[in-house]
Amino acid sequence: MSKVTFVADGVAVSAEEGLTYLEALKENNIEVPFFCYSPKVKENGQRCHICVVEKVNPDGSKILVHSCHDKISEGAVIITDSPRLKELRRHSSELLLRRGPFKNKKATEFLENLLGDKEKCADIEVLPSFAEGDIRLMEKGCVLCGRCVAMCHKAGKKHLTFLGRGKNLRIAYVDWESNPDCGTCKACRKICPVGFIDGEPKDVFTAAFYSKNI
Amino acid sequence: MSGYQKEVNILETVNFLRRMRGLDEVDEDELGYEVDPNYKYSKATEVKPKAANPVLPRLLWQYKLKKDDLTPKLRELTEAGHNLLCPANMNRITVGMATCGRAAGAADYLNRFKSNPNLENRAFAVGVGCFGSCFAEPMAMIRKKDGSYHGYGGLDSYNYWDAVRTANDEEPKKDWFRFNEKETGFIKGSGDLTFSPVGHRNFDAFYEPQNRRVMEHCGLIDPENVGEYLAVGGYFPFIKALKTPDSGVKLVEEVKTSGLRGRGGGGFPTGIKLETAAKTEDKMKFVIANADEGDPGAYMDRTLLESDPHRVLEGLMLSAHAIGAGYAYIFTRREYPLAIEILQKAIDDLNDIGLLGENILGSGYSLSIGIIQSAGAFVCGEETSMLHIIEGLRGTPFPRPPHPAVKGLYGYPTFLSNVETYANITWIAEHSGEAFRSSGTEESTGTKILCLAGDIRRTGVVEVDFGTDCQTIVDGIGGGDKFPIKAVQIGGPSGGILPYRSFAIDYETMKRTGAMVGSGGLVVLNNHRCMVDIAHHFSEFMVKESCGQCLFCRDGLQELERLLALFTKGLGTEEDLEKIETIAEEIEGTSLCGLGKTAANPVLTTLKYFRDEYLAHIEGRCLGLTCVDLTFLRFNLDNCRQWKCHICYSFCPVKAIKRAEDKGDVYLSVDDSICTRCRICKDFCPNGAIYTVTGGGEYE
Repeated sequence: MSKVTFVADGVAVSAEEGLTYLEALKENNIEVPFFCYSPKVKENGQRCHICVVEKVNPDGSKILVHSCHDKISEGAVIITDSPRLKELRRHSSELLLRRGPFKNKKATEFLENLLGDKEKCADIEVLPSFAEGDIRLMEKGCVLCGRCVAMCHKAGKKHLTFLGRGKNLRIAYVDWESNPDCGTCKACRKICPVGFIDGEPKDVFTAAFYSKNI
Repeated sequence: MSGYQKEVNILETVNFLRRMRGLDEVDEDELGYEVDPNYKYSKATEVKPKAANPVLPRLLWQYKLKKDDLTPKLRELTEAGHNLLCPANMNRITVGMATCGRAAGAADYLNRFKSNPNLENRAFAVGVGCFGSCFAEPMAMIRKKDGSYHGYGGLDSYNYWDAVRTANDEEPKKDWFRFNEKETGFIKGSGDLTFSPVGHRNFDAFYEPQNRRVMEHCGLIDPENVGEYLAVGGYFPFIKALKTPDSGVKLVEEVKTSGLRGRGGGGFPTGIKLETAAKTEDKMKFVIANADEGDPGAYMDRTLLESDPHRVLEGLMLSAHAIGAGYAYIFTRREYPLAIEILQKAIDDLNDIGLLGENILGSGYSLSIGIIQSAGAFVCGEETSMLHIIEGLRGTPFPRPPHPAVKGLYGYPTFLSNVETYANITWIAEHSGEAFRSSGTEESTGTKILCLAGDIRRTGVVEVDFGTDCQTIVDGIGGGDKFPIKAVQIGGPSGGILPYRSFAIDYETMKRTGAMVGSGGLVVLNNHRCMVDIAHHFSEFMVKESCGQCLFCRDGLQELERLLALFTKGLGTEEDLEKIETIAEEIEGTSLCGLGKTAANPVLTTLKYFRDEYLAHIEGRCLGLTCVDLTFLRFNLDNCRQWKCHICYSFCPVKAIKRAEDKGDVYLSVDDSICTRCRICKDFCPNGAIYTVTGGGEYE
């Protein structure tokens, strides 16, 4: 594998080709906060915008790059911390916290640190769609990071899936007749960043309702 | 051909008529004259439409093909189609039978034309696609033997008989518009027709500014008859491409020369995409046509598929041949059942006549086309999520690069484009890339199909050159509106809302203004529309349709919608305006796909051009007089008291109008707490005594 060199915060960094920015920066001890990313499930397509970094174009303009998804390229110039990024991460964590409260204290702390403003944490309102009392009310506390879905697929069980779209997006449990055993591997419980899955996925996810019709 | 009873017994008929009049039935003796038991009324020998001259030699000469290049079946079909298109012994009646026509009742009129005994052996009726003039549906066009066309729009029980008389070789009366064939007996498209306006319907204003290239057959040929498409020169470019070596490379060059850009919204140069896909060395390649349009108010893909499916298919086949793909798909919405039906028939026909399948016309090239139906989510129209769906996955976009042209469906190179782009490729193959540049601007070449909708007199599908002025389209083609026009909404939820001024519609201008051409929906908004309300409506749409992958597109849009809802209630503040701007920019910066990146465009453009309306909402005024919480209905009692008609009082669905009598006078008033602002009272009031006020209740 050939090495790729790029500049991060004014420091030249070289890493193996094919790595993402997040992995390459981690190797070189440059810290970028991340939330929904997990090295165990790289297939996860969800994006929480916490790990966003700025990439400087040759013409001086800056674009936002998701360091967990984008592969490193030769000669790229990366900025991992700037007022704009701080503001963006603050907004992201605010939006994520609105899906709370989370059972995992660590996740809450991490997000509140990003938010920076302790007073504001208390004022965060719940999402409008939560307040309206629609079906997703039962999934309050899930940030839809998609780790569990990716893990379940990786483990070959394929019991979890996304259901709906937009504001009705939720994670669903699907009962397969041919693949009935769930609750043995517990992979989704370990990978959940907010501790939402604390029991059988069957009971946790609302879409247990839907399994009867499949 | 004719649906009515062929053989009639006179005695039975007489008795039937007597029964209808309540008279007793008669037998032969009472009838007064002798009935020949063997006599039966029967039709004269059926006349078949026949054209004056054959078309095949002309087409062969034009495309420099030999007679043997076509199979006998193809030759036969071409002539049969020409006989139907330009008959010299009968009149041809065409009725627009696309979805828009059917919704207006065209199927009924087609049946009446088909079964009208007056027209027997003088005229025949066929269903065709949409002519683009949705305001004139149901529409019939009559081609007389001498090559003149007479259009009748808005068919009703009176108009219908005018059309029947015209088809019956009488002097045409009350037709909306006329065409004449430049050369009688031959037609290749609407370019071969000269337009002459008649009557007072202003159809010339609708038709003449248009440049019909892609839609040249729409409304003229029968979409379900492959013969008619062959007779107008269809599939000849494809047959020629099959017979010419290196034709694929030439087509790619021609498309590059033409400067054709993707018509689906992004506007990426099609030639480069085609070249990238052609240069990859994979043996397995795919070609996909995207007919999944989710924009509210846009239906150009549906119109094309319903009116001229073969043109799209030919573009698909030409591109597939050019890059060497063996499989092609058309990705369409399940909501378009008629388009799917017509498309399936077209593909079956092509398989029958040997233009699809294994070893087409002995050239060694094989191609098969399939139809894939999407579930109809807005995000399914995004090209990468479309690939996911075809693979059987959840419809979510994935990041590019690698572009689909390099690594697309199942990891193989895939050429992906909009239906309209394929129809343009057919035009380029028929003419040339250089000729394509003759219309449009330097950067945006060719024509664009636009869908006119909203507050406008003449709605419809129109095709204009790129660079045409917006006012030409709205005021000229569309005929304006009874109220002053405030804004135009271009490109659906991804586009923007622009103030109605003189600007050219092309990719560059649109990008500068913050909107985008998108798929081509053009919704006209008059000054009775509130821009904040419209922006709220679009963000509401996007909140429902976002795929949910990106946090800002999913939750940020929800926040945006909440803030806009505050404004429509008059509860917004200046801080909220700043918040809206920040969130909108963040959504644009962080989203993965094109739909997410442009999701906040309606909000951003309204903030840019109609900021005064947002500020007015902060003060509690709605300038469009539509926001429910900020507008109130009031009585002008001077107008009202003279009449005492009580129409408003009796029609109010929520009984919000209160009535009081004083000294013989009746006083009506509206209870704002009950009133839902449906404005039925205002619409029904014969005296104009009810009017709308705004301003946070200051107008008590």
